[in-house]
Amino acid sequence: MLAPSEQRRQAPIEITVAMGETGTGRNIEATVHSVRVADVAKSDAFDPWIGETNGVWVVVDATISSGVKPTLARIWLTVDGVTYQASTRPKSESIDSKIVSPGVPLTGSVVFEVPLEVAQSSTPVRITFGAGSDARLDTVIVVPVHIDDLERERVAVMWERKTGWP
Amino acid sequence: MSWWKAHRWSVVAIAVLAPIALLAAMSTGWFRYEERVNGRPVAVTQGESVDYAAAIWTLEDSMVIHAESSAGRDAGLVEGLELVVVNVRVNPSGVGGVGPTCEVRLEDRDGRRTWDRATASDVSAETEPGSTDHCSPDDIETYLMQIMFLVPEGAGEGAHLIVESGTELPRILSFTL
Repeated sequence: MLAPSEQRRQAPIEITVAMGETGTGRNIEATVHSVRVADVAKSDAFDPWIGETNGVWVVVDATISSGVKPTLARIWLTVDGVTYQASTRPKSESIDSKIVSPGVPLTGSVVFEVPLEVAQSSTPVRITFGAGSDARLDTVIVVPVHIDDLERERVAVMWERKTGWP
Repeated sequence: MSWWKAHRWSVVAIAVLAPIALLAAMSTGWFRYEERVNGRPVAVTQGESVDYAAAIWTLEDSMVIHAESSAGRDAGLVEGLELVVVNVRVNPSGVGGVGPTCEVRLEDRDGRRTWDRATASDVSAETEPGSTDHCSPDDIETYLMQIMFLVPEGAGEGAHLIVESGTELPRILSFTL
């Protein structure tokens, strides 16, 4: 009865770091530079895009790379037990679901379309970076951020996706 | 005479031999697993030719382009990264009218980290005219495969180009750069 559930036994191993710090896992490395909340998110780079929403956008500016071999970097946001996947609306400009390699930094933004209550929640949102589509029994980087005290911007422009540090 | 004095050498022998016997029994399975996961590398040095996947493979040369060099700037390399360029001559035997298929990757000196080939969106380096960056079963004449890898500074030193073909596994080629 006291045995942990299957889900708990296979849960990812979380490495928690603060914003601005680099978290290093088995095959993922991530640094969150800034987090913004906005009514509209847009990208001015290669593939221009502008996104309106009935909720709000949480825009995360970060640098990611892998640890030992190329992998698909996945980024998600969790608050109060609810997980939000990165929006696919910005198409190629998002750094989510991109192949990253060891020691080769990829910098840019990832956006999450969330209900307004999320931006007002006093619980910190947990921005999580994982390697590959299955995070079980692997390390993930978790960056908790209080977004309720961030000023809501009208328009947040995504960082241009590029190889290297900002 | 105590029991210990009478049997001490037997106890020591069991303590030493039992783990050795266990390791020996399990090692075959371990090596088979290791071979399946990482392949069985055949070391090839520059200039040496090797017969693999119905073709003769020769590492012609390789170079590392540093970010601060003029070639590095031309290629748009950012600080802290370097570009490893590898030229491999492939001479298909043409058996069955098809050339070899292969996958390539770069492994660092100690084999801990690997990289896939760089794409045009990673770097803007000029390539050798007439070269290709992959194996194609359609290529049955001799061709130059020029592969580039974007790696962190220092990783290109002593790296290995790994070439593997499904028909030859677990045997893989490991070109020492």
